[in-house]
Amino acid sequence: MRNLLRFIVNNQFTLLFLVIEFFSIALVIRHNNYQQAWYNNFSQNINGYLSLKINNLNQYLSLKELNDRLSSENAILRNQIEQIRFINPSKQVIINDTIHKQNYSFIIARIISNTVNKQYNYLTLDKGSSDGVKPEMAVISDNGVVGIVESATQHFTLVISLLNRNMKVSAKIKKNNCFGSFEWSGLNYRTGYLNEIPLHIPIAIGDTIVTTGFSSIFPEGISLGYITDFSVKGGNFYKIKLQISNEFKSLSYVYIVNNFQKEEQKQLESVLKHD
Amino acid sequence: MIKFLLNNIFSFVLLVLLQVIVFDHIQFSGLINPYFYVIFILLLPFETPGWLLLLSSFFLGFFVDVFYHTLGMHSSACTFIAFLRPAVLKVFAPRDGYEPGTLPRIHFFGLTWFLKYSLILILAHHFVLFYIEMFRFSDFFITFFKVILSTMFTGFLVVISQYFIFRR
Repeated sequence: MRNLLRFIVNNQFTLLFLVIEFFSIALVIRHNNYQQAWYNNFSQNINGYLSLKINNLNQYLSLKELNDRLSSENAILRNQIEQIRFINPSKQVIINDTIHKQNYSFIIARIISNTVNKQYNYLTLDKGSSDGVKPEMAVISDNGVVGIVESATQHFTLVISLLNRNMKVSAKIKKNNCFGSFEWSGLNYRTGYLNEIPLHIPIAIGDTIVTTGFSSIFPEGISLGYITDFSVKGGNFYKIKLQISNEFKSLSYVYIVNNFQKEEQKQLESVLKHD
Repeated sequence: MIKFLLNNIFSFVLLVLLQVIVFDHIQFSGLINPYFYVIFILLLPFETPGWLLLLSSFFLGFFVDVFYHTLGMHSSACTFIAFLRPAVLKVFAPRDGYEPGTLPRIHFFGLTWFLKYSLILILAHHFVLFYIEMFRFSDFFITFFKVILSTMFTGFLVVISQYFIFRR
């Protein structure tokens, strides 16, 4: 203790200088726009970098599980290839046909941070605008919908999770194509609601709910969940309870979906808004 | 003693006002911006205690900042040269130290000594100030050019003022 005091007394000039200088720099960063923006950018990058490293470690620890899932997905895909070959072997030839142009492309990305326990959940991915990610792209996994891209920096992407109270997805019942809107319950990460399904539509527990593709963000037919319960809400609509098909707690790889015809569709539909 | 203190407070206020009213408008093609007010830190007596030196320099910069809407920039540069000042004085000290009753001015130690002493501190001040203002190294050389030119001009003003205002 005495040594510490002596140290402070001996170096009071340098210490006082450090205190004042630190305070001044803090003032600079707090009150000048350019410097503040620089600092925010800097700390965000450090944050991103750190959570990337931590995630790398976690990833390594859960490699086995991931392997199992990837190999099962592989098996399913392989089966599909075999079926296509069997039906039409000539499909292997590349046809230069402009009508059959590819509509979607997929960017694979890793989740580096993810929450499920808040009312407004977000995910961060390790791909950014330099990989071609843009706002309003869809994010899906092999089990179904994950979210929508909110914004992208050069190397990272912020995604609004499906588990977000602001999130509404246009959804339909797979067997009869009747569409409504999906929204998260906010209670836990496995349940959601499907609204606006009229009473005369026949539904049953276990029916699959998929995306519609109306919004030009999600491709059609991406799985959202299964009906677990439904009741009549008064009025003309069902209150349908769903189990979300994605297991958000164990997600680690997702696909970012790029719709090549989004601009075209948006441009066409923007005419409506001018009325 | 009281008279000395009042004198310094008066010159403190005068220098801040002079800086924001007069020297703010001297800008040759955006390259030369003299910051004459640092002369306050240069001319403080040798016996000034460390804490007073640091604090008065900080507040000098702070008041200039308030007028320029650049909170923190001038204060950090001023605090920095206040920290350097004792070391620089030690390097340029005459063989038997500074005599009591003398001040760091041309009148007592000659033009060469004063030029060496003041240019180093002014350079340090302008260097810190201009780089904090830019906050990036992408325009390193144009900023450096600005630092050098402004240092020369401020140094010129400081030396000239020794012959007219702060004569003793």
